[in-house]
Amino acid sequence: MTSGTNGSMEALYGPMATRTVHYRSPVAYLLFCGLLLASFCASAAQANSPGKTSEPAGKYCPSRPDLSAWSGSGWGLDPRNTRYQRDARIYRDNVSTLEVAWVFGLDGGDSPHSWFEISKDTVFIATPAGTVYALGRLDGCIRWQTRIDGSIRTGLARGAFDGGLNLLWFGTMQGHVWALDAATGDVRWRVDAKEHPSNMLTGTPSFADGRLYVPVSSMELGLAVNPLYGCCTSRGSVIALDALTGKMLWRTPVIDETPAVSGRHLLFVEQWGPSGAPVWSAPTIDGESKRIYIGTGENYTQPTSSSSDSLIAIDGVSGKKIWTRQFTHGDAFNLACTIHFSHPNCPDEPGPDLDFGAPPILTHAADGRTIILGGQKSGDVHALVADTGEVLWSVNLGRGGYLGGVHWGMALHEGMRVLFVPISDIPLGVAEGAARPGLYAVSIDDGKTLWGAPLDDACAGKTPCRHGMSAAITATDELVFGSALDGRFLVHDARTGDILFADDTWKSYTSVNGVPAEGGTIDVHGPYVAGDMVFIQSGYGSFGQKGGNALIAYRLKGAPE
Amino acid sequence: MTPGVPVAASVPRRLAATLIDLLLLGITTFIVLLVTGLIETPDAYIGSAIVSRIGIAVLIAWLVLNGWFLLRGAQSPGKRLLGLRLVDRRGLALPFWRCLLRPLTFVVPALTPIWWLPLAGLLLGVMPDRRCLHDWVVDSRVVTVPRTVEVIEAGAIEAEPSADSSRVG
Repeated sequence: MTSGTNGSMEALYGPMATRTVHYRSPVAYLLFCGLLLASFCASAAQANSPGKTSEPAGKYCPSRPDLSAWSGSGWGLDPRNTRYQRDARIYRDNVSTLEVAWVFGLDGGDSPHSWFEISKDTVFIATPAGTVYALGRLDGCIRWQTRIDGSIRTGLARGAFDGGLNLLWFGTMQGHVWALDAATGDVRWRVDAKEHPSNMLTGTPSFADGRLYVPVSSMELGLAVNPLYGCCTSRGSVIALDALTGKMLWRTPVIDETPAVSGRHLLFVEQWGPSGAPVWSAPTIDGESKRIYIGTGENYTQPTSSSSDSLIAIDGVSGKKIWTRQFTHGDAFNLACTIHFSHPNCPDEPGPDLDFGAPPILTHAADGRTIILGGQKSGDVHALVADTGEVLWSVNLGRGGYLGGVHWGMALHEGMRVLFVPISDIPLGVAEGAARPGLYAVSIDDGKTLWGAPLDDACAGKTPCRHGMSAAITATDELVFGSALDGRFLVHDARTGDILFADDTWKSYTSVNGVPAEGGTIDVHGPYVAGDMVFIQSGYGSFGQKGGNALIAYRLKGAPE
Repeated sequence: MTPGVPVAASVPRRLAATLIDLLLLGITTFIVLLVTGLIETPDAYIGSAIVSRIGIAVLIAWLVLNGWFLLRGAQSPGKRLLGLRLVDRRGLALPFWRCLLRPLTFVVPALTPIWWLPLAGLLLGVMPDRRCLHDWVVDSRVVTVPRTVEVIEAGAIEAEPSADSSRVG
């Protein structure tokens, strides 16, 4: 071998080149490909193995659910979304004897997002993994479980039909509405509720008179954090389905205008508007007037619309809007603004993000007029005449912010003529002033605050912990059942606001189904009262909170079987 | 060390070249995504569409960024900046198709449960010949380019391309 400048490769790379004399078979190459092939085969075999689809561990009870009686119906326990539980045997004088009866470990991550339907002997609940469980009310045994294709994000709704048929409905992050037979868990139908690829279902469907009203939200709120995303083209809406068959009856978009290009950023990325105004809470139904009422969220982009952050009345038969009452104008916000206000997808003049996330409550004023009570993330509560949308009174109870103010839901005690309002006021958002987290009682006649129960800060030693009441609440004749973001399940005296029972769920539990159950932040739908029992989910990891998966059943000590 | 004689490149130098390549690949992918609008619309976020679309953008960016340099002289931009080159065991510039195959030894396992294998294979770089697993698979090595031959390399590489191909088989 020579060296020099004759242009040969050997000359260039000299001694290293000369070391290679024999051509070897590509052993390493073949070995590598063999390993890849084996790996593919192994993963395929694992995916198809019986273990993948077998039933998880847990105590099974052979009997079917007894559906002869129910503790409520839908997210609000009734179509008017009062969240007042008549089926309660827990009072001031026995609430202190509540104790944990059993705990069930939910599947599908650390942010369970569904809510209950409860029959005479069965608790129905869904999980982000797409599992719907029918659990024995007294011991958490599994009567049936059904796995659907999707991540269940709404609470359960229920309705009865001729022949003893009871259907359970719910929605998924993928934008589908599902109907299951409550007796067996069999899937009856599935409907695509999307009009836009990003649509998802967060708010619980509401049922009345054979119709199912489904609120439609959007993932674009979060997609906007990607600066290359052309934000935003989706609109919130509500759809009506034939509850028995799933047939679409009508769809009413919150925003009338079709989104159009409103500008560009980074030279190429189109900006669109108006957009947003999602509906992410359960519609409220007036059985007499056949109207439904919804609350809407903020616009995602500019230009803004006249229907964001609004309460809207819709004819339940035709889907036609009757009136729209906007409470915050020009509120354009998306999650890009939480990264930085200079983010290309954050509107130039970002709004305060003041949705109506709590379902409106339908009741009557002292003069007999039907009224709507709406709680806003601003911390304001409004009373409106249901016929016209005229505002009767408004009261501010909190500082407000991205996660409330009033966040997930209030409860009404019509006998006392009192509205109970939980205030979150965690320090996220542009609102200024002192936070006022806690529970408040407001007269529905004039909006006057009857009492306030400021929430003590119990975050010491807990991380990540926030100080506020974000989850929805439930009222009974004598009590208000609520929770704190610090993981405490709280029961207040409805007359005074005094805390009569508290239990910290921020801990690990031994579950009846063998799945490790972890408590944490209590958020979203809050406690469900049924007879002498209370059911609550602990652990909600969204927004940087303490996640978990514990479904906790409380029962009065010594209660008869 | 004899001046002008290529030697197996040091691990830190190879790592630095890789980091430069990844940085350039990220920037170029961003530009490809921006210009093509592959992830600008909501349909890109249904199911796993986002993964395939970004994968397409990375592939385009990789070809734009590396295609010419690899074809021309078995060097990625990072390797070129740091005076490194891909050669086969005989010291010949690595054929283009094997240059294409080389990164796939990371990409393909990433889609399987043995995604960690090529990463673990990087540890082989501490061996005397400094060849990692992906070098073994495509029969490559990374060497420093002798400064004394820089002036003639272009003409030299083109001198015997057909002969090289036949010998590699």
